[in-house]
Amino acid sequence: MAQQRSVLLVDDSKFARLLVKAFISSNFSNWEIDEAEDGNKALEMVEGKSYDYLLLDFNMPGMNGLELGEQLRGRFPDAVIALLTANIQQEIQKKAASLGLEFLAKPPTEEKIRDFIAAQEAAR
Amino acid sequence: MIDLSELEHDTISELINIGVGRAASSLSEMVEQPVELTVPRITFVERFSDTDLASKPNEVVSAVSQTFDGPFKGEAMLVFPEERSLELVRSLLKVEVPLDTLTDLEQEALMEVGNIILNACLGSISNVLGEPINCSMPSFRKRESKSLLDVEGGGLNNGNKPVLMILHVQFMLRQNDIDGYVLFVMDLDSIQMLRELVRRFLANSLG
Repeated sequence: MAQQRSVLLVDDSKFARLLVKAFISSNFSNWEIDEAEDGNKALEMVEGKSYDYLLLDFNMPGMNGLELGEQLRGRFPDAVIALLTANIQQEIQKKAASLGLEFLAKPPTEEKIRDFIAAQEAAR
Repeated sequence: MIDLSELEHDTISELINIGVGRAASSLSEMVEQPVELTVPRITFVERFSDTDLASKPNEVVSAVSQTFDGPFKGEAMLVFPEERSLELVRSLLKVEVPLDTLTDLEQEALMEVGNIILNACLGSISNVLGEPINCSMPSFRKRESKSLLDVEGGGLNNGNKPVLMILHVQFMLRQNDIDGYVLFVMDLDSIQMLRELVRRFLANSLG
């Protein structure tokens, strides 16, 4: 059983959050998973709590996932921060890498989410 | 209306083919079944009603639309018949939910599917041409097929050069008897810019 971790999902799509939360919960049952529907809400949430994993959509109302990721990277230097987005353009992937963000292309599948987290856990 | 050489026409079809192929792969991952695609078809029209897509003008369709902007701009749309949309959502959800929740989630789920499919198309095209494309947030509409491209307060149909390039690809999920199509709609200026980028791409690729 992996160590208990905390996860923040930031996505304006309730459907996307529902799926990703279900995939994480079914593989890492004791993990705590919070949700935010946009960047501002996410920044409010990290004021009072720290997270081990932050999964960010790119295309959201208000600030986009890269802008949010940049702010979160400064606040959580040791956390795994990943863009989880349908926007697969190389430009976006390069910017994510330059900010120290991982990149996961949507659609989220159980296998993709589980393997990504397992690899990150193994590297810790 | 607009003159594309055979090679330009073929290249634009192939760009769309690559993009929709990537999109089909994404959809297939989501529904865990094969997705079949037709060969992309390009048509130039002055009105949407001129296309054979409007052959069932009173059929109600669900559509997720995203406008895109960059060196060329336009609107990308994922369209499928309304009566199959709940079936599609059911096959997308990997978790059991009650019917009420399923209905509540329908629009959210379809918007997210549209977002993934349309970004896969546009992202692949952007990557091949090496030109960034900005996509808007997805929007949802449910209406008769004949009014599909009518946009409140403006839209592509109201441009000063009302020429539309319709790129049409049909997709099919046989296990669920669902089919739909992807549309790209661009005005004349954008078509010309796309043609220019395709020319440059061909010049670079062919040396």
